[in-house]
Amino acid sequence: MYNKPFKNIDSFKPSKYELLPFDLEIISETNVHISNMLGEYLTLSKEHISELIEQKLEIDSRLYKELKRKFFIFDDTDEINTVIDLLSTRFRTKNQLISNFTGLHIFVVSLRCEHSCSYCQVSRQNVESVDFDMTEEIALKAIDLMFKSPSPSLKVEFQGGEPLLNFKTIQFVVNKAKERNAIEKRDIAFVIATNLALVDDAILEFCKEHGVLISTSLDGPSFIHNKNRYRPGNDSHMKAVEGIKKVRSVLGYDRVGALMTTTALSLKHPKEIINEYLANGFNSIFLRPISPYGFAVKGTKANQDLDEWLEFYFKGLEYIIELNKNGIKIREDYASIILSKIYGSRESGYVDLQNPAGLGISAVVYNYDAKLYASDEGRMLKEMGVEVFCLGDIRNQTYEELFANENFLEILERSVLESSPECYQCAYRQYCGSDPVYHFATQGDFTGNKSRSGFCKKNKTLFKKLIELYENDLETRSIFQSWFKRD
Amino acid sequence: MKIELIADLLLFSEATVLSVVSAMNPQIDVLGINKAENQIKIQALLKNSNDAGEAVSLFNRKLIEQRLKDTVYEKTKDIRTLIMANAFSKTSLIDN
Repeated sequence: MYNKPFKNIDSFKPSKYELLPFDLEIISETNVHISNMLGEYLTLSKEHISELIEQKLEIDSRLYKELKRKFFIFDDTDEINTVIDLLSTRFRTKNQLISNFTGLHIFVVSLRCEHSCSYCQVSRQNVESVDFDMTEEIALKAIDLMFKSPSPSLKVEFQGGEPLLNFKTIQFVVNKAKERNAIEKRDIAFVIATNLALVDDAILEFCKEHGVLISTSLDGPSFIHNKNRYRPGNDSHMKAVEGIKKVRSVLGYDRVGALMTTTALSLKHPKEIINEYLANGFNSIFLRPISPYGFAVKGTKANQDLDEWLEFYFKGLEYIIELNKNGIKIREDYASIILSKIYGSRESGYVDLQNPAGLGISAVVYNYDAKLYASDEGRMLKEMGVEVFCLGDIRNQTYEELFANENFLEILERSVLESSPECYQCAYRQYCGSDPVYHFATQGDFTGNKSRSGFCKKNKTLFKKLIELYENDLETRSIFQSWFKRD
Repeated sequence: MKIELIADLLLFSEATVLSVVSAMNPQIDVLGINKAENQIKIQALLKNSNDAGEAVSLFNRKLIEQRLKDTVYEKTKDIRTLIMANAFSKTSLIDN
């Protein structure tokens, strides 16, 4: 006999709950993904989403309790001031990075380079062209400006061209910055982004003495690396691998990191690239898409389709998960950053996924010629004749003039997702960021039409897939957690 | 392939329909938009497919989604403003 008890009469009374702000997306014929400003999310059936919005949910249902616990709704048992305080505190915490302002300071000490990479995004100059080196006078101005940033942590990254071609300016900057920091007492770090072809004992001794880290490029096995990163002698891979070993032997095993750039050739070889990283003792890899700037967008040789890159990325990620399941620990860095934003408790500080955009706020670029750029990509666009991301000239403009100019403030304003068309109602907004340089390069507009945006398509696809992987397989979830909880 | 998408203005606001048409940029090129008494008709060319049924189904799904989004946004507008105001009023950004 059916003897299920009647529901309590109270559950049939009209609900007294109110909605808290949330965003949604229909993800299938039957399900809707919802998320809120705490970063909480749920997948609901279409019936439940209608009941939720029409405020007809049964108040003793499990769903009601979960929605309340995750701050999608509140009712008369909640203290409204507490709810508002909690949500606004979370919003403030999420945006805490803004008040620290610029932490990453990129010094382009030379445009000279002895490589001719297929995707080179800057106007590289030949090795003899010393007019493309940063002078000490300009370097001093840049250091001055850097210390005007209120950030308690400063990272100085030397880039090029090949920065080691102007090593004396690197030495000058490190020495002067440390001298100045004796008074400033900031947490300061130095990184040289180099192809390692020119690294020698004297350079490494200096790096050791001053705690300078090394970041290099490793595009994959030699047949990919040498093709992507051509240099006379066709030995760029050998130079990079030998350089990595040399750096480790002098500075320590973890003092060198590597980044890869994806090209049409790499798209066919995700496993080989990952294996190359393992073979060289790295426990992480960043499967990066090629950016649409500089020579990369002008040439057809490095042209690639986003769908192909996504296929490459997911093949790579699947392989990395499989390796981890077999006891080989390796992390994919882009997934790690996204997972940290969705499930972690801290903002990663990754410049390309910040809202408002990280331009100038998180990173700034001092070019060899004293021009200041809001980002490295903004500097690359200059090589295509686009100057809008140039903040000014550090020789004759003050910090306030450079960082509070109308043009720059407009770019930042147009990058705020809460007021961007489409983004303001997007269910993935909490995890996403804004990229005015990308949208200007591809659409001629700082905000960009998101239905045509590769940035939007790439990130939305990754968010959905990573959530699906995290939710549907406990072993994968545990691997992912080991990536973003490592700190 | 040329198709016609029709939205009922008794169910969806004009702004909702236009948002959806804009969001379907990867799928369609809009040729024309006609507003009748209670309907909006969109003439469009399919970009990468010949499946008119799929495009109509996507259009309808996006209309429902957009309407849900607009409803939530409208219902939570006041509390959203309150949260933002509270968040920004407790920073030291201005003092700095």
